[in-house]
Amino acid sequence: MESIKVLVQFDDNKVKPIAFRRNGRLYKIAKVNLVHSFKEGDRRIFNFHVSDNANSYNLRFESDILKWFLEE
Amino acid sequence: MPTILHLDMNSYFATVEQQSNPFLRGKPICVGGKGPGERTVCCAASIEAKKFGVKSGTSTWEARKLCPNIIVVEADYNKYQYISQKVFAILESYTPLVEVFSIDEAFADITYAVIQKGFIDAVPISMEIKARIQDEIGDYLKCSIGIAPNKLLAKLASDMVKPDGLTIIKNDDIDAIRRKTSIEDLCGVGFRLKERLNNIGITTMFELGEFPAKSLIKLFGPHLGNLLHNMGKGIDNSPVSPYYEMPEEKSFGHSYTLPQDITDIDSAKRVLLKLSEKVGRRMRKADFMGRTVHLYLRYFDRSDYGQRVTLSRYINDGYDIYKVACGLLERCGDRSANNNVILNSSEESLNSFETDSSRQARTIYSSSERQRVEKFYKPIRLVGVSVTNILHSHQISLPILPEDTKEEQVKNTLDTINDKFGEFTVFRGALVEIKDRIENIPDGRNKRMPLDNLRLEF
Repeated sequence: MESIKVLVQFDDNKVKPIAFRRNGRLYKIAKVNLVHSFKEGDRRIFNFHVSDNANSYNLRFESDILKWFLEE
Repeated sequence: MPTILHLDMNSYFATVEQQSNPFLRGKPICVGGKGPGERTVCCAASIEAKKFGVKSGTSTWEARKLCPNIIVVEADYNKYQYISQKVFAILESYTPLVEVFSIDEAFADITYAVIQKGFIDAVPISMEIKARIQDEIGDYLKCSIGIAPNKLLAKLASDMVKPDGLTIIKNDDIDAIRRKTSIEDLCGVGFRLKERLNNIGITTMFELGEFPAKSLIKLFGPHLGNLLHNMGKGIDNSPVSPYYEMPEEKSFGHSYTLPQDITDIDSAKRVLLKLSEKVGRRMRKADFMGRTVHLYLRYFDRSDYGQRVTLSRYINDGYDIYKVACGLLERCGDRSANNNVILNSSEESLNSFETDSSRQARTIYSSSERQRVEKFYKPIRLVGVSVTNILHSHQISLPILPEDTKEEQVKNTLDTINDKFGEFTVFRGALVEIKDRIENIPDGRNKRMPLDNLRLEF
């Protein structure tokens, strides 16, 4: 799991990741396929399953520290 | 006349994975356990994999044999539970009478919702539910819906067309449905019951309904006999029971299919410890204690074996549960024992692994010694442990001895740490080797989970 920078669009109550930067490279997100959340201890984690034209990615947002991670 | 809707998500776990990752769509996939080369069971197969004969319960080894290109995806139960909660929340927006039947199935009594919306029947609501699931959760998710005057027929209806079906059974259709429905298609008729019914010449729902009720009662007892007779007639008077009306838990248990069959008791013990820890943790979270511990084994040839012990005291600590279950496991593998010795020394040998305060344990044997000795040599495929005979903790006297209260304090501290940082942040050293492998066992029944945090939209 590595820390990444994510560009997010807030639209009404919806949160939509637009792109993320990893190792200096920008990945544009074509589609948010599924979002789910769960608790790890008392922390609420959000998982965004997104894809571009070549791959799918799992972006993890930890709400207590407001940080994004890319999961393998 | 009630209108009952049964919703069944199609190939649920596999479709959720295909929803998460569009590159898996249209491909044969199955959801299984961790680790390449390990033998686990497919929890779900995609529609594409089903065409090759892969289904739920097929081992991944068999699945690879049936379909060499199959992609085995690791199960993520957090994801499945969250998505099913969202699906059930959609149902609850039509009626408060929603009964969660399993992680991917629910009944809803929509009698008043149909009247309230001014519809003639439940079709528009069903179409709306299907559309909302795809719109609000994921466009690849499909479900089959059955509508009927009762739960039995609604479930039967939803099973008729898959995937993405919508089937209505009206009163006038019931006779025709009964004639063409095999008894194994009825919810509640498993393999063994089917065989018993087949043995008395019953193969269809119609034949079951026409069979004299008195004879069924004589053969199967008053409860099951009457139930079977009603099932055969297409009668089911059971109400849709929402989660807030469900009776309290009667047991806590976990089971795990091993990556490889094992004959080595020590490996089985490690799994048993992990399962016991999970059971204990759930019991403490729910504030329950129990005094009957069951051990359940399934062997490589799918034969089963179970034993239980009732203790004189109530427990909810994982290690206490383990010690009792472990004793049963050791006894199961006792090569040298003969029938008389085992039965006569049951208390003595059990006491050797129990704590002092539980020296009055007694055993109840579920199978003969002959079977036990015979089964010792069989490799184990699945291990399960459960605790029954439970009471709320406040109904039980608390320990007063210093050594017991110390243990209680340590247990509470560990629970507090795991509550804050997540399950198995702190765990017993004996579990290091298998922690990752079975960390993902889902925590019990989804049906009791509150529908929280569903107001967020994405």
